[in-house]
Amino acid sequence: MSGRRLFPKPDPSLLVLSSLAGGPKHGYALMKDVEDFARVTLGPGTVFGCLARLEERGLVEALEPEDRRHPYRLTGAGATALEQQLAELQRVTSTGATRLGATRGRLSNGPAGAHT
Amino acid sequence: MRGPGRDALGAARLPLAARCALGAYPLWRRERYGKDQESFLEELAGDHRPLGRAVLDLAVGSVRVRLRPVGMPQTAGAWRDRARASITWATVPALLALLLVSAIEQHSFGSATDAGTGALLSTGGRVAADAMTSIAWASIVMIVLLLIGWALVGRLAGTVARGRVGKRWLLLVTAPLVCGVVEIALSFLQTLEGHVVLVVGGHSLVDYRHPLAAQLLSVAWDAVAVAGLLSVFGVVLAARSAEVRVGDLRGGVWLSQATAVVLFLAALASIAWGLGVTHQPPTPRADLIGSGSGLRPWTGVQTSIAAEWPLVSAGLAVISVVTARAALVARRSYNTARELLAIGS
Repeated sequence: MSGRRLFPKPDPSLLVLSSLAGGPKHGYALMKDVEDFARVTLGPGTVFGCLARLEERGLVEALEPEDRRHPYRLTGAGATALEQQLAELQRVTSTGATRLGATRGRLSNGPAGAHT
Repeated sequence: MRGPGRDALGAARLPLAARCALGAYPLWRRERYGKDQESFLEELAGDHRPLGRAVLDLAVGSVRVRLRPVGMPQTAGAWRDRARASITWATVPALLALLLVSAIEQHSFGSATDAGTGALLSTGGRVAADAMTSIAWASIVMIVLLLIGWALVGRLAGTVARGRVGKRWLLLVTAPLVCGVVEIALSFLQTLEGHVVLVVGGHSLVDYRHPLAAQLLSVAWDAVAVAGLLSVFGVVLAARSAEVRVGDLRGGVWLSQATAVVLFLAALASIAWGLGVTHQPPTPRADLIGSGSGLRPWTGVQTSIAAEWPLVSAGLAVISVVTARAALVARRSYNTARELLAIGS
């Protein structure tokens, strides 16, 4: 079995937006938060690359710097974009979970059931 | 929002690799996110977490930003800086290409196809010989282009010398040019020192009157070549520190495009040389060696197969692609900077 992940890591932009949905954070705090809830470690190049992209699209904005670091927060447009993206993911996960439940039910009926 | 590692910041001094990765970002990006990124690394170090992956991530991020400058301010200054960085990327790798090209030229087959061997060459061998001639010309043109480029940067040196960095930059930026002149002088001395021994069959070897002096000259040539290449980094740094106007970059844009074309042709010639030389069957290198009454039999066989050509050609192709892209970006950035300047942005 290869060591490569079957599914790629979640999109860093989605992780950053999700983290900022919990309140403004600076880069390092954001990385630690993502690590806590998604078990994904984002490097500084990725974090600030995402923030630059999101800032350019008006989805996040920088606040006044605190001790050399800018905290970033979600804008209204960012909240809407995150909501839409999460709704799409929700559709996929709920459909997958429902179908998986049905498949597990069929599998538990025995091997013959799996082919019907 | 205070990070847990913040208290240890005083002791956390960033290693050189981290500072280099931070410095690899364009100026506009450093001004916008530089302190945030630095602070990120300091907090990471303060938490006693390894910096290696973070530094690598930063380095990759800097390449991405240079390829796709997301969030770059639409000002003439920012586009001018992008044009300047692209000119550097389009011309400095040409030095590496010169090394690769000289590797081909040093190959025995390269120096053995000058004259008189036509009868021994197959079609492949003739293709290789023609390609070798093209490569030799390409390398001469590249050297001339780089010397012109250095001369242009020399103009920048005046700007730099007036600035805060002082006159030592003037020495640094003119060093490649000085090294080039010394190289030519050393080559001339080597020619005086050695005399060519003709070999029957058209091949040639060089014999030296004073082997020790010849060896010293050879070592000096290599040392000056290395010094010249290293001093190019000085040129890059000087160009980075200099305050240039958009109009000053016109020559650099032209130089980038010319370098890209020459490198592309050199890469094609290298592939043709490799294919040709691979299809040239082994030939007797010479029947006799020596000159005048010193002729003696020599039974060496030239295999004519250059096993390294795919690597050299791949290297030239990669450098050619990097240069071509950088030259395109340099031209676009230069044009954008001029347009923005015209509308007063």
